[in-house]
Amino acid sequence: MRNAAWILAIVAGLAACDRGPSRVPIREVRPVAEGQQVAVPETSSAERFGFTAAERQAPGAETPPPLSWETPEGWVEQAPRPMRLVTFAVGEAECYVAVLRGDGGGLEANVNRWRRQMAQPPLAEAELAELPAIEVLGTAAPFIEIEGTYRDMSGAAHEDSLLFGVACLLGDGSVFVKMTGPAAAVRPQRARFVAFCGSLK
Amino acid sequence: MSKAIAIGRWIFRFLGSYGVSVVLLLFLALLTFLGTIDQVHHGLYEVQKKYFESLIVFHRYLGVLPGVYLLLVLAFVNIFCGAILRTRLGWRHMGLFIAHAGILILLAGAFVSHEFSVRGHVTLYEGEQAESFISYDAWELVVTPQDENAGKQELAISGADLDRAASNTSVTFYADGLPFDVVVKDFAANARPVPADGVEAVDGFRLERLDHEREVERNVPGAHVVLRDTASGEEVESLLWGMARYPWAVTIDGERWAVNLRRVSWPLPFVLRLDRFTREFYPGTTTPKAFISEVTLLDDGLEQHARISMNAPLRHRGYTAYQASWGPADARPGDRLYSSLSVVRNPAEPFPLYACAAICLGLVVHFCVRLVGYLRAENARRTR
Repeated sequence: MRNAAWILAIVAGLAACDRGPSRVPIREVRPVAEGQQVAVPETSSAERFGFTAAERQAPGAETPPPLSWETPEGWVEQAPRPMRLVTFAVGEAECYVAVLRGDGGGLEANVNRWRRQMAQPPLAEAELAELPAIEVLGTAAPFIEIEGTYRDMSGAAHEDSLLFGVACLLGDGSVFVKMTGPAAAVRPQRARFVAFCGSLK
Repeated sequence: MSKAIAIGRWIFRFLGSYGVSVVLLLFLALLTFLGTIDQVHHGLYEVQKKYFESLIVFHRYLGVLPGVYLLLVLAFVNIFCGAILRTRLGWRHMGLFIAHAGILILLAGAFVSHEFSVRGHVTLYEGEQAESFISYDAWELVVTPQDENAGKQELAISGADLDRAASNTSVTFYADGLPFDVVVKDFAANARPVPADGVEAVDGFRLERLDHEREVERNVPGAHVVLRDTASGEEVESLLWGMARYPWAVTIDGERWAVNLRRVSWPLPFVLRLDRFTREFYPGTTTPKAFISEVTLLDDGLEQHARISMNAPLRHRGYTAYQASWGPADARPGDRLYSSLSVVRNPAEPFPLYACAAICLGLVVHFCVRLVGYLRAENARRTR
């Protein structure tokens, strides 16, 4: 019995011993793995963590005013999701509306964030000014169309994707409408997407 | 000298004794019972770690108990020593000898499997293909050079090493040729970033520690990391989070780097492509009847088509792919679906089969030997 007690004491002591040195060599060096997330220079922590400007102001923030809309035929409303006013399944594509306090980071930051998601280079200020506009909530909102490889939140790349986006900046708030999916599924929805944005009230 | 030999013999006999066998079996039964009960509160992963993969278990009511890992090692020793002590050569005992060898193979397989197997998943939409699989629960911090001429090598710090930095214990990681040290000031196995102000905030955020999830794959780690230029001593810091959209992009001494906290992935020695995924339900219900992934395996220029369903995995070159799940969960008819395959690389995968074959063979041999002995005795009795 005494022997057993000694063995137990030694094992317990080893289990509870120090965590180890505070300076440790990196042991694993290997070829860069394919298909990993792409690092985007000058990305803030908020952007990396998927926080919008409104969410960063979350404590005590007022609820943005609700909107109404006319749902296009074939669009199926999905369960509520964080940071989105509404999400629709449009065949293989997805469309959602986000309402933010303030400018949500501004037009340039949002358009170029979308372009990065589609693996496209950012637009310069002059190019942004030339974007076509549609009327949304009584203001001329830039309409963005980006073709490319869409990288979702998990980092998975989806080739031949298409993004429609509308950024409507209203002074004290902003509304973003975004549709993504396979180009073959999104392209035929162009007229419905524009009509949907126009129906927002 | 003779005393040492006598002690050695005593230890050997003790380790191979029936008494130790009985005690081990009783402990195994007790721990299986306790583990099963504890699973209700702590989930499968935590219970496996605590009861079945440990040397020692600290139980709330029963105090210190041996872990199942330790018990199985002792069981191996017990059977091995017992076999040497009690095995008698000859056909009469051959069956039991083979059956016990089967048990030893089973225990050895469990050890190899525990130490060397890896388990992850491949999640694919139809038409997509994968050349690697991703761990469910193992994370690593990876430092990757971003400049074209910087080479194509990345440095990885394992989750076990990151754990040393838990509870705000700063740990510095370094490597030859790396122009900066990676100082992990804090690491949490399950955390989320929350907006914050003041001294604890890093770029407007702090890490909020969360309780461990019952399903370990739902834990998302976070870390507070400082990169310290080894030449100038200058520091840049950021928070890393497992669910971040992008790695942390940082430039040190004119060189661009990406630092990321991500799940461990392992390369597959072949390419797996999902051709078609089908789901079947019992008529008029949403109760699943079958999920089938039709895949193409591309290996060294050869194409092989296979169907993976719930009880029919694909086995190839030491890897086994099981049908694990599918999604999106709220998909409607016609929606694009993905299939998630659980992939296991286990060098001891055939061991249970070998062990069962050996045990069956041993018992059949033993039964036949006993039967022949009985029939001979019966014949002898009748002829008398």
